[in-house]
Amino acid sequence: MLKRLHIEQQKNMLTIEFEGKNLEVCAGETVAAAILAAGAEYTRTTAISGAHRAPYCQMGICFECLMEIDGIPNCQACMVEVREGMKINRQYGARGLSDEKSV
Amino acid sequence: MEHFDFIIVGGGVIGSAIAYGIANKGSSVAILDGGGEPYRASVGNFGLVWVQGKGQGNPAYAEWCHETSSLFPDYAQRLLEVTGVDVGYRKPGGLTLCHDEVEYDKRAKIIERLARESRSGTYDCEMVDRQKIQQLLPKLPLGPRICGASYSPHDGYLNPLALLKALNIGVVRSGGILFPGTTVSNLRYEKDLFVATTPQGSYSSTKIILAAGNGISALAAQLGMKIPVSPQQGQLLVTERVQPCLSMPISGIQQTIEGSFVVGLSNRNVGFNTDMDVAVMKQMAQRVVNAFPDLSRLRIVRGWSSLRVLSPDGLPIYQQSDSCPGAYAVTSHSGVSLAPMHQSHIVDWIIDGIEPSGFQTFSARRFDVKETAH
Repeated sequence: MLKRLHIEQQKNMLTIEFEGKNLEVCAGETVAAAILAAGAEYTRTTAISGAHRAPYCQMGICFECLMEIDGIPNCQACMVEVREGMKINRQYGARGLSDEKSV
Repeated sequence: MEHFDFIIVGGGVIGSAIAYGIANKGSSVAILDGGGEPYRASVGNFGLVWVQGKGQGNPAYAEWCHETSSLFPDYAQRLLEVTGVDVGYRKPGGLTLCHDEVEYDKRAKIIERLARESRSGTYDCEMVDRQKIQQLLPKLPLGPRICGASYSPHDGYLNPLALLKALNIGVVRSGGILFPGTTVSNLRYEKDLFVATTPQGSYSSTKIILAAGNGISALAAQLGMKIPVSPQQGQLLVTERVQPCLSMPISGIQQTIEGSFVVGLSNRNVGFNTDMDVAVMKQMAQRVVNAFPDLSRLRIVRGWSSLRVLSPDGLPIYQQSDSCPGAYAVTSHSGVSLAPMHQSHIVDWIIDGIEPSGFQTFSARRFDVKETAH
């Protein structure tokens, strides 16, 4: 289980939605960090075998942290900062061509 | 000095396929493969096994391309059995899209010419209209400007990195030796032996095959052969993975088994230069979106450029040296497509002197004639 080294003051907390459940996260952190801190275990399943994957490089290179963020599939969660009210889902397998949802 | 029956200079798909074929026949063979240089077409290419449109003005080459396509299903299966590597070969047919009437007429003329020139009088490739294209690609709506395409049932694709890996494993399993990072600096022919000098030492052989891609000209000159090739840069773009929606490869647009779209629609003559050019990338992306507007939703996640190995007429060169008998040069822009031919027919030519029908047209002498005529 991962935990934050520095717990921010209460006023810097935001609420995002992960897989339909509210999550309190720290302002300024990435979606990948927030989801890891919440103990989510995995953030996507792979396109071929369906194996579970979690954020790895945390710097935009490895594409392991792909998630659906505000209706947009295959987003690199380590490159996106959390915002109030964000809706996050795991990326399950390969996206479809018309997966983009209007939010 | 270590001695082999055969030395192959260059361990890309061409050199490896030939080495594999030779090793299978029981001769000792070593591949001396250069290292570090960034211009390796075998690791930068698109992976099409392509037939349609090839061989204008040279029916022997058009037949060569058809034969390789007919050999490929068994060839890929055999590679899997022997090496354990699935090269991911698929042969669903392929399309070359025409974005306007001018492109359509030009393409139709090429296909007509190939039929006219062929020894059978036919060429198995047809021009098709929008409706037929949409039937062939049911999951991907066509852009409004696409007016037709040429369609061949013989085209296919594979994973080019897997092919190279399979060939390298095949060489080693058959008793061949691969020397990576062993760049040949000098070649000489003395007392019926070939000697290759490298920073790691010298190696000798009874026969030698040059398959060094864009590095072949300088090496061939040392063994009395004039092999004119030059680099032509091609850029590739790779998108994020998406569920399978392209049911057959398009010339320049392909969806991998893993789901990424790969786009390669450029050629630039810029010498030994693999820099990407943003304007070219933009043109390529635009052409893809014109063909399939839905693909504008996809993000591009990678890109690179690589250098094609082109002879003056774009056809392969298969040449034996006159002054140094036992030295051969083999080069082709289509090293992936022709892998089964190189592993079988080219090896038969080198070992047993068997020349397939029309084979003389692939000699480098065709370029000498043109120069004399100037």
